[in-house]
Amino acid sequence: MLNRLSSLTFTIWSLASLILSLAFGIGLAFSQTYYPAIRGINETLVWDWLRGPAWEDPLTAGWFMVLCAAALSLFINLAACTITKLVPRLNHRDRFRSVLLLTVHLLLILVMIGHGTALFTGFKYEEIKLLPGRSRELPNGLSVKLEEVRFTDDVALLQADQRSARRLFTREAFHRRSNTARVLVARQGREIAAGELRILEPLKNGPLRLTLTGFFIKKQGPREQIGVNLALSSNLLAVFFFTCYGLLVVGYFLLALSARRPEIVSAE
Amino acid sequence: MMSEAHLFWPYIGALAAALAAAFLAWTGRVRAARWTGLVGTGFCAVCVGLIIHLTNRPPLFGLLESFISIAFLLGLAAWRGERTINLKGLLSKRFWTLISLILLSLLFLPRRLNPDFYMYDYPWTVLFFVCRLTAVAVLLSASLYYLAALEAKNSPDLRGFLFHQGRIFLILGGAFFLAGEFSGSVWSLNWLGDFWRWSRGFFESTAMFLLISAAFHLPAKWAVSTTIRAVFGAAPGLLIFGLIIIHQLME
Repeated sequence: MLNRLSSLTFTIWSLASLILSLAFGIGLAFSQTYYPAIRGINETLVWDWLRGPAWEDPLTAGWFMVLCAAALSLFINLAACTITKLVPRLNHRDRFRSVLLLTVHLLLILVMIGHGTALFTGFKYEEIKLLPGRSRELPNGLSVKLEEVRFTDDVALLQADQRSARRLFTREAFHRRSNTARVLVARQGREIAAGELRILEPLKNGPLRLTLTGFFIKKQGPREQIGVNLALSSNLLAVFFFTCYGLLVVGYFLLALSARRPEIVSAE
Repeated sequence: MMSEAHLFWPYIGALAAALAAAFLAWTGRVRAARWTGLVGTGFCAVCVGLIIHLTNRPPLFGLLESFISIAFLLGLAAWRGERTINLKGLLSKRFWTLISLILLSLLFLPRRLNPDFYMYDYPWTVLFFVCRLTAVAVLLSASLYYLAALEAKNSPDLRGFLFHQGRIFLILGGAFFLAGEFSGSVWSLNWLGDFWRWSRGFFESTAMFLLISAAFHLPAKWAVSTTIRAVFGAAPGLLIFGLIIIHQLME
């Protein structure tokens, strides 16, 4: 059984099924009808999404289950192959490459575990849109309050649509370090984290991470107010994931560098 | 005052040299093709240098920046390809034809530098794009080795050599691709609060990594076929290049 699960034929079909599932996902993300559903997966923890919002769009939910099944089959194949083929290879003549190959496969297993557990652990709340002075209670008992926004650039920038924003948000027009938001995260009135946020400079407290994803402008009666879009997340395995991923990249480079040079031949 | 208009003449120089190198390679003058190609690569290097000078960053995105950068890296790979080994132009003609086509297409496309997006001062963003462009060039080099192996069907030694070299390029391309994905994950975590997003880009990148992996894991009965090996080895480079073009045109 283990031999069948570790066969290259099973590998290639697992890869093919996963590639096809991803291709279907690309199609869904392209379609105007299904794009909101795909986007919706990001707004919360996947586990929370699967227990509720996912089933408002059965096609996307069904596709997601197929995608997970294909990833699981590849994971099983990867683990089985590592046990039955790569571990015995350690007695091989070229020991360094065998160890390297085994390490790369083990790291890939760990990266897949990191991806998999991120679907079910911690929490994630995106699209927390707040105006200064307002706060939002989240389902897990946390609350986020926006105390102050400082936006020093031309507010006309914030009226640009997503497509033209890429052109307009230049380094000269938008100074990400000068535009800030002062926020406070609390649980039942007790402060957990507080401070100043900038784009690409989230507020961190252990695994808790509050990220400023953008600014927006809203008409409030006769005047306009600038608010912020926040994401609050907690992922216990982020450090583990990045460590394994970084080592996997190093392993890949070492594999390329340690490849035996083929003998020089001539076409003549 | 320097502007992107200054890129025109070095670009024309690179295009002329690439076309000449392709012509020389197809007519069997491989040595001359290599040296002419090196001149073209030099012009590409000048363009890359000018882009860095004009924008205070390396080439990152947009057809002009991407194509010049990819052509430059392919030129280096082409120079290396037949440096010590006489492959009778098997590689040269493919490399210089592809480089010529890439540079030629810029004649008909807007040759503008990408707007200086505010995140281009963030190291992980820069690393993401640089690694992605390098991966495209290295994977395309792998594609050319694998396609050259198709022409060497009747010479097992040569075919084996080209497959082996192609495989090394494929692993190296995979390494750059993964390094780009790693940088992109850090960027995504600090920008959007999560290290990956369920999006078209994520699906494409994952599929690309799996496609690269597939080339290393062909079942024995498939691997004996030169055509199947060549198709699997060439696919990632050609596909990622196609995706890059689609992404840039849709921007």
